[in-house]
Amino acid sequence: MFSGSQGQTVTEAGQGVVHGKFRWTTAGDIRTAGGTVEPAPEMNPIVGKINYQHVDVCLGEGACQWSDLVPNVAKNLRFGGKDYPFYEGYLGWGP
Amino acid sequence: MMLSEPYLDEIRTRWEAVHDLAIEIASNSDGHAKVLARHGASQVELRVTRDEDPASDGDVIFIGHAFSDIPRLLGALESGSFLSAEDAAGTGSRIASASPGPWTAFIESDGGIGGCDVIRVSESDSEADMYLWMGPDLAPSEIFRFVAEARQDVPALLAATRQ
Repeated sequence: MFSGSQGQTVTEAGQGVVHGKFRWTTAGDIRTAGGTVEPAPEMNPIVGKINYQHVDVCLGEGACQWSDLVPNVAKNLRFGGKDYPFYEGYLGWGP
Repeated sequence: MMLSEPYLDEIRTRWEAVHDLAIEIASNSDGHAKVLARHGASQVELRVTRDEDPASDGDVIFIGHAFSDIPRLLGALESGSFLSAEDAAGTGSRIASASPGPWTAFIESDGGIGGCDVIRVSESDSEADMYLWMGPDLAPSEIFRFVAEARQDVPALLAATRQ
């Protein structure tokens, strides 16, 4: 199992990670390959807030098509940034 | 600068988590610095990248020496002894050559970062993230934490030994 971020678009999913570059795939691809994607909001102690976009990913036996590394949005728009828009919740996850 | 005992304990804890590694600094065939890490019988390169690119020699040398600078500076503080001028100048030079701090380790197992361990070197968008590798895999989290905090710890310890 590893950590990921969910989003309705690639850009939005990227906002849920702190990294400057990331690879993406779709939840559908992961599930088709026998894997699972489960929303799992988690507190990060450095940021001091809950990341409501956080997901737990388990890959299945099948192949899953991941993108090449793509650049993320500016740091201020990512989780931990001052302009990150989802501190109060994401897609129904949150208070 | 006086360092608080809780802060010194945090530095000791981070050091104890990695002190089994024997670190050596060498040169690649192209003349760039590299860090070799030996644990038991096996030796691997502790590779430092900024996203996909190799990190600067300044960062690599700072990181490699941090594994000996931290215990030496802690020892000097604990014993009340002074560093030699040569030692202090060498450490100061490595600090100056590394990318400016603070460096921040985001650790996957701490929760909530949505990806693997990574070190944020700067809040500037033009500064790429730092990754540490041992062979094809990311280095253990305790190394990420030690290296990131070393960027703050080494200058703080050096200043404290000059009191």
